[in-house]
This record gives sequence, structure tokens and C-alpha cells, in this order.
Amino acid sequence: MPTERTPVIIDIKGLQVLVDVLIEQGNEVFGPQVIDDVIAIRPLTSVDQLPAGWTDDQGAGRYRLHNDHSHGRFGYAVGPQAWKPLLHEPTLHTLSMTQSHAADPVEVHVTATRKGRRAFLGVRPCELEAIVRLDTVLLRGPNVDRAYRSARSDLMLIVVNCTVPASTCFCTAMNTGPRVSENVTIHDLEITELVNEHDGGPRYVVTPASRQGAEILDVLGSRTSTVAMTNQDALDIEAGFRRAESSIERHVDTKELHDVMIASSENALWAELADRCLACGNCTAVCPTCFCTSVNEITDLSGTTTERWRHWDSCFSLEFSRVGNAPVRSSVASRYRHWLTHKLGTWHDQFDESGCVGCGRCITWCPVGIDLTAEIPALRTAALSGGDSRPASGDQ
Amino acid sequence: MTVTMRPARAPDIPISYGVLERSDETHDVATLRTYPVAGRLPSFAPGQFSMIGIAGVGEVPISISSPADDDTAHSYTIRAIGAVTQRLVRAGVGDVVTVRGPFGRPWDMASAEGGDVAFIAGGIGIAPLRAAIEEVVRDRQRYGRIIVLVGATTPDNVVFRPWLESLRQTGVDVRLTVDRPGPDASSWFGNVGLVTELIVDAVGSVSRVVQDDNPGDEATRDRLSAFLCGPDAMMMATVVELEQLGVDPDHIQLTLERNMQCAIGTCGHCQLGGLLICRDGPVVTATQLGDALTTSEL
Amino acid sequence: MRPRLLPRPTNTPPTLAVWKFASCDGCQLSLLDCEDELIAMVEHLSIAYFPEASSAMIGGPYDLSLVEGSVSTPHHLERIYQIRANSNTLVTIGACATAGGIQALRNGHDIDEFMSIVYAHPEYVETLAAATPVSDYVDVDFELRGCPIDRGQLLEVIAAFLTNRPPRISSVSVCVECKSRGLPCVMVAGGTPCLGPVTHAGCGALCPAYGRGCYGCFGPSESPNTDSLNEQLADLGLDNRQLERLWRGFSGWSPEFRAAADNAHGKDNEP
Repeated sequence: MPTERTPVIIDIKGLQVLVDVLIEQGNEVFGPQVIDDVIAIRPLTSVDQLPAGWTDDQGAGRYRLHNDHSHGRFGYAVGPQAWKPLLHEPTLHTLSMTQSHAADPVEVHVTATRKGRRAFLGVRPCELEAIVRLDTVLLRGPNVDRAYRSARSDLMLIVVNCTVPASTCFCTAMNTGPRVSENVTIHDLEITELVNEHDGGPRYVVTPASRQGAEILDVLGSRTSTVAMTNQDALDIEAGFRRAESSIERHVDTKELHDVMIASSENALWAELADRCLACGNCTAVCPTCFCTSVNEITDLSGTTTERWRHWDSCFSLEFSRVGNAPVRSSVASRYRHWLTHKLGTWHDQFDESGCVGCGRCITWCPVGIDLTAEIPALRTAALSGGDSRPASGDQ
Repeated sequence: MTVTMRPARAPDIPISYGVLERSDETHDVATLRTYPVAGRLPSFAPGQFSMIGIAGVGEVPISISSPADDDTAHSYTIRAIGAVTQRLVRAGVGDVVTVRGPFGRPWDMASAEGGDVAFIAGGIGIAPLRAAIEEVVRDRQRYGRIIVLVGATTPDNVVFRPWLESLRQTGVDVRLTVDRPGPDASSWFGNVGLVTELIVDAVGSVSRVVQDDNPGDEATRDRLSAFLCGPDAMMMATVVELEQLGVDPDHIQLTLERNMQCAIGTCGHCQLGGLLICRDGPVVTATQLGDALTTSEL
Repeated sequence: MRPRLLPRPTNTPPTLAVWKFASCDGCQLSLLDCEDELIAMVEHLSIAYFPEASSAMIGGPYDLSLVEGSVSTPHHLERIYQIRANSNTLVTIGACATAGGIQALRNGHDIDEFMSIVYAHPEYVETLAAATPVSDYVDVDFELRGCPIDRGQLLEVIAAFLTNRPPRISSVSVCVECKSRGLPCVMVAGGTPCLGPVTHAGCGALCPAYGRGCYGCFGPSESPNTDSLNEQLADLGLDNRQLERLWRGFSGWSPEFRAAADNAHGKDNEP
């Protein structure tokens, strides 16, 4: 990168100027806000919309917000959804086909993909890592997903490091947070919020991460007062990350985790999990890396016009694995096994990285609170001891 | 907002092919010969598949069964199982179907050159092998013996029987077997039993002869290449049989079917363990496959 | 269930009949609610029998019969056999026709006692002991769920019939629709009891969109783990009586929800 990574410090007014500059440059800005008792991503024009003082209390199958009246705007961990719905839409019209008679050529109208500049403010490091994973699947394969490509172009990614992890987080285990990794290069700005409850409002340490980010920072410098980072600030930041890291309660041992997952295919744990699992698909919908989709064709009554819609699908649905007239994975045990094995094991085979970024959403938003971090040790133990020979599935 | 586009090469956009000819292979299997009506698919290699469909009904993955050197028209042999295939099998001459493709990794024919070749099919599995067999027969000086083993449930369900008979006339070792000869058993002169039961006699003898010629030579293990297509259980049993005969698993190729939907590796449906079948297959080696088919509901 | 729509004769527009059994008419109204599509529908279908909409009644046989309501009286029983015999394709619409409906709450109880309380002259009332789904008596080609049914899904079933393909009606959970709309989970974020995780999609997560838990109108989803949900709902503070009432709703007579309710009821009666 040609630009020096020199951080500057701005206050909350400066953060508003950043938002203003982004909007002036033609971006639609999105950021976290309190909507319907959760922190959701919505279009944002003012820093007053940010969740001031709000923090999230998360546990297995449980999420509550409370306001501790702190000065921070980013004093929460992660909301119910990452940025996936904006990049990989839940439902998308892809094309329409017209054919009046069986012998007519099919006329295809391809739906235009979205256009326009956007800026995402408040991307968590684990969420940024999830975008890296989606990029690999949808942009770096032999074929490119055209809708995702459009959504990813003209996009400014502004990371806000995580200083208040939730109890469901395990980013330190997956090496995806709480601070953005130096190995990730897809973002434009990196921000760390500094909150000192004794001396007024929050301050933001802003570091450029791309040429565009540096340019924005230059404009910001001309429009608002910025100060350089002091040694004390640097110490405060480091202390903040150490606090964040040490507050992370959940852990996954990733040593040879791929092999553990592959060796666990016959483990009886899957059947036990199926007793609890609702196969409702919530974990896949909230997972920031789950990318699976299906296509549905809607016809008019005459069958002349067909609208092709793509929508999120889940490997927990019976239809997902259908071949011919029967699903390959009919038992819930096999569906759960597929999901978790893909996340932690076969994703490496397919895409050379982990499918899990440790955000903990699948734990929080599972209606019955299934916690993968609590299940993996049993898989590891069984795999190391030569495996559990009881069948994984069958009578479900 | 929509814009009209007519790109022939975008892999996610269907183009129109017309049914030039249709032939009934069995009571529920038909072959459609299709020609380009608007746009044209890129050229393909044996083993690759297209997503063929009826607008408004859906798409299914079907291997191209016509020879790869003929790009004027493509043949698809289809068994009526679900909504789409039932409609395709009933399609009339002149009807227009949608196609996208070709997709996936083809048969690796080059690796088989210089040795004996066995094609082992179960049921309609002979269709994805047909283009490969045609290629081997055409270039037969590059190969040793050519063996074609086909299993079906009943004599009526043997697909491409006239073609198989014509192959036999050209010196290919064609052997057929059925599970049940049917009420009119006297008219069935082939074998009765599983296709795996033909392997030792047909393939095993070849393997032994070659090994006897070059005792102790590791290379002889590579002299037989096998190409498999059929139900998962049939292919697994065949792999076991071939490996017991000493055939190198790298030289056993199988074509797999899972729920291919996008066919371009982005929808996630066709996973089989670490494999994305539309991207890493449909043709894989027994080595790549590992125990993926022996793990239930994988 | 496996969608099974039969081919229709191609030379004449197929005839449509709409039948009512024990029901509130709400599902038939969903058909009338199709407004814009109704014009297109009469181009492709000849409406032969639909008393709710037209006084013109043409005799059978009918190509497509839509049946609303549960089988609740001896007269219903006679009619449903006649209708089946007179229909090429028979589709049941709504929770009453597919699962018995809210009136199935009477099932398994003393019907004579109910009648003596409700009616001044119970001797004039002819009823069956149970209100049950149509599929308990005759073959049904497709069951369209909902209380009421979803208009878009009804159009899909009719379009599928007209174009001779199986209807594409997903049987996944309501959660899939909820998350697709970007709604926060009312159970996880609010502690509100919700049957969404085990309920068949189709409503578009209507209740959660208004902060309410799902009532299970569309009946059980494809893989309903009601035992596990019962445990979670109990953890949220529901006692067994509340649990039982939650399950015994519009689709309470569906085998899966009935078992869940019985399970909760049984726990209550344990020593």
C-alpha cells in the first residue's frame, strides 16, 4: 500500500464529518442502530443513530440489549446479522424467461444487478473475515457470482475493532479478532473507539488501510480537527484489546480441527445433537459465511412467463440435498453433521480456509441454544481415541 | 429493472436448444438430440454435463452423451424421475429446452492411453460414458483392450442396446447383465446378476495377463483404467472389486451426481464431503473420493 | 407429502370447483382476494362451481377441486366421497381441510356434553364426534396449508396445475422466512414463545413481523422437533398447561402438534 498507516484521532464530531464526507462522495452509508430491541445494520446519516451506550448480553439462545449509559457508540459485540444481507441478498430476482409456445425460443431478460457506491461503517473484524470468506466462494472460484460482484464493487469497508466481546464470541480461537488482522487487506479504514468515562465523549483512532481510505482521511483532516496519537493513547488501545481478549469466555481448539471433523463422521454425538436441533435453519441464516442458495421459478398462470428468484437456502432443509426424488441427508443428525463439518472441516478442502469466524451468532440465535464450542471437545476426544463406532444416523 | 441480454457464454444464463430428434430408450428413458436455436454452448469434453430444463419447470444436470467432436447437436439421455425429467422425456421434436453448460471436470482420457480400458455402467449410467467410449473406439490404436460392462434391472431397461451390439461387432468386449431376465427369460442370452460379478472375469484376466508379462513391474498396476457410472452403491462395490484386482485407485474414475443447481460452485448444494461435485467433479478418481460414498447420508 | 397433480385434458379449459366444509370461508376469500389474477384465472380455468363467488353452477366432473374445511358431519362424509369421485385433481386448502382446524379442539372430548351446553335443541344437530382433515377419508393430491392460506401459494398451486408440474411450496420452518425478512427472533431477543422453528413456512413470518410469536397456523414443518422446542419453551417459563394450549391451536390436530400437546398434558398429569 502506498500510504503510510499513520493513525489520527477524531472525536464524535469528527466521526460525523467522516459520515458526511462519505455521503458527499456519493456513498450510501450503513451502520449499526438499535431497531426492534436488537442492533441492526441500517442506512445511516447521523452518528446520533449509532447505539450510544448500548451493549449486548448474549448467551446460548438468548440476546438482550441494555444501556449502561457509557459514552461509547460501539460498546456492543455483534448484532443478529452481519453484513451478509447487503452483499448476498436473501431474495434476489435473477432473470425472467418468456416462452409462449413449446417450440418458441426462450427469451431471457437478465435482471440488472445493483449499482451505486456504499460505505459500511462499523464492520467488526470477525465480520470482515466473513466477507473475505464470501469473496473466496463467490468471487475467486472458477465462476463469479454477478450479483455479489456488483454488491462488492464501489464498497468502502470501515472496520471498528471490537472492545466489548459478548460471552458467545470465540474470535480469538479462530484468529479473527477482536482486532482486525494485519493479513486482511480488503478494508479501507480501521477504527478503534476509545472511551474514557471521566473525560467526555468517545474518541476514534482512525487508521487508513487502503488508498481510498487514506484519501478519505486526507479530506477528513481538512474538514475537522484531528490529533495525532500519543503514547498514552497507544497504551490505552493495547490495554483495551488485552481486556477484550481476556474477556472472551468461549474457546475452540483449532489444532488439527479439520482432521477431527473428518474423523467424526460416525460419532454418536450427531444423533444426540439431532435430539435437540430443530432443523429450523436459524444458524445458517445468521452465519456470516453461509452462502448457500436455491433458485425458485415462479410462473404466471399460462406458464408463458417465468420469474427466476434466488433465495438463501439452508443445509438443514430436507430439500437441500435432494437427488432424484429423495434427499441424501434425510436424518437431522446427518444435516447437523454436514453443517458443522463444512464450517470447520471441509471448507478448508473446498476453499483453503475456515468457514467459521467465531462470531458466535449460531450459538446466540439457535432457538434451543446449541453451542458448537461445547460440542467440539467431545468430537476431539473421540477422534483422538480412535472414534466412536456407534452409527451417526439411521433411525431419525 | 431488467435489461435484455443475449450472451451465449454466461454460465448462469440459459440459452435455447431445440429438440431435433427424440428416441425412446426404455419405458422411462429417452434421448433428446438438441440443436442450438439461439446462442450456442461452448464445446465440451466427454463426462461434462449441462443444466437442461423446461422454462418454468426447472433444470436438471444431465451428461452430454453424444461424441465431443460433434458440436452441431448434443444428445442427453434422460430418465423420468422428477418433475423436470418427466417433462423432458415427454418433449416433442421441435420443442425448445433451456441449457446452460458445459460444466464440471470431464473424464481424464489421456491418463488411460497405452493401457486397457474398462467402462462399467449401471442402468442409465452408460449415458455419461458413451461419449468417452466413442472417443476410445475412434482412437483405439492408443488403447489396449476395450471392455464395456453394463448392468440393468431387466433386459428392457438396458439403454443403448443396439449401439452396444454394434460396439461388440467392432471388437469391443461388451458384456451385459441383468438383475432379473423377466418373464421371457429364454430371449435373454446375457448374464444374470450384478455388474460387479462380471469384473473378475472381464477385467481380472486382463490385469493378470499384463502382470504376468511384466512380473514385479509396478507400472503394470497402471495398465488398466476404469470409468464408472451408476448408482452410488454399484460404484462403491465396483471400486472395491477393482482395487482388490490391483487397479490403482488413481486410475479408477467415477462420475457422481449430487444436487447440482447453480453448476458454477456457488450454491452449495452438490457437496459430498470436501468435494463440490459441480466444480471438483462430476468425474473424480477413487483416490479423491476416499470413503465419501461409504459414509451414509454424507 | 409428495405433490401429485394429474395431467389435464388439453383441448378444453379445465373446470374449477370450490367446495366448503366446516370452515370460516377465509381460505375461499383468499381466492377471491386474488383480484388481478382472477381475470387471468378465468381465461385459463372455467369456474364451474364456486357458490361463494357465483350462482352459476355447472355439473361435474371437475378438473380441479379446491376443498376448504374439515369433515365434521355425516353429510360432509357423503359429500367428500362424491367430490373425490367427481374430481380429477383434488387440493385441500387451509388448516381445517388439511389438519382439522380449530374445530378439532372438540376431538377426543364428550361431544354430547358440548352440544347440550351450546345448543338449545341438540337433537336437531347431526355431527361427527371429530372434525378431521379431508385426507382422513379420500386421496388428496395436494394439501395447501395455512389459516388462512397464502394467496401467492394458492396461485402457485393453480399455476402448477395449469402447467402440469408439481407446486413449489417449501416445507421449511417459518424461521427461514423470518430471517429472510431480516426480522429479529422474538424468542431469542424477547423471550416470546414462538412455534416458528417447527412450523411450515408460507405466511411470510407474519406474526414475528409484529413482535408476536408464531401460532403454528401452517402446521408442522418438514422436520418438526416438538420435544426439543417444548423443553425450550418450558425454560422460557411456560407451564405445561400453557404449553398444551400453545400447541392446540389452528393446526392442533396435526399428528405432530397433537403429540406435542399430549406430551405437555401428560407431564401435567404426572405424579
